[in-house]
Amino acid sequence: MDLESLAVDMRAEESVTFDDAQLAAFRDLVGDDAPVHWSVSRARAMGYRDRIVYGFLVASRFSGILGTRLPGPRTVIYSVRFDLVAPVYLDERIRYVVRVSQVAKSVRTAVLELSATREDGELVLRGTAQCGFPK
Amino acid sequence: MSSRSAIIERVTPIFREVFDDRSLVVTEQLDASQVPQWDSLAHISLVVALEDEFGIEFTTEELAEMETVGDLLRMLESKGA
Repeated sequence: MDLESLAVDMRAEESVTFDDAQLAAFRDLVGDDAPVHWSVSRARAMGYRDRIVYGFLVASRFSGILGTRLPGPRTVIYSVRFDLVAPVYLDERIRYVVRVSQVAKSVRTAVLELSATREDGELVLRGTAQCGFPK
Repeated sequence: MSSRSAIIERVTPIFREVFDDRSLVVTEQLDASQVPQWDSLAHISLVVALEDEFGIEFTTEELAEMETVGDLLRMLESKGA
């Protein structure tokens, strides 16, 4: 998609679950073996009902949506801000939504709202991204 | 309060947020050379935030002519801010 085609309220969505293989790959990629992601007893001692998915892994799904669908492969991400509002557990379905909230053609930049929710609608992540269209 | 003062009052929190400097004083003479955090990415964020705040769109020509905050304020006034 090019800058001229972009409009406020355009959306892209997907739903995913996270499994142990993905957690292991992420752990090996970034070097984070914190026990809250691997030990049920440690996770419960920290107040979670079970092991939790890495927050950056949860957020990383937005890279795929932003980079391939909305705003798409003609853009690069300039900045991302996100809040990890609630923990994500393995094997639960998470719905991702990206919505165009502003198009600033003067600086060839789109602002997008990011949200991830459980199936019951509970928010687990909220954020914004600014993506530019290099000439 | 003059129109110019009212605009400064509206843009000041934007400048402070974009440049992450709560003590930043926005004056008409302020320009990028005086703010270390004012790089190209911050400039984009600044323009995006200003367009959103005032419900306006700048042209690339206007942005090219903008050298100081004073230039910005005159442009905002001309767009009805």
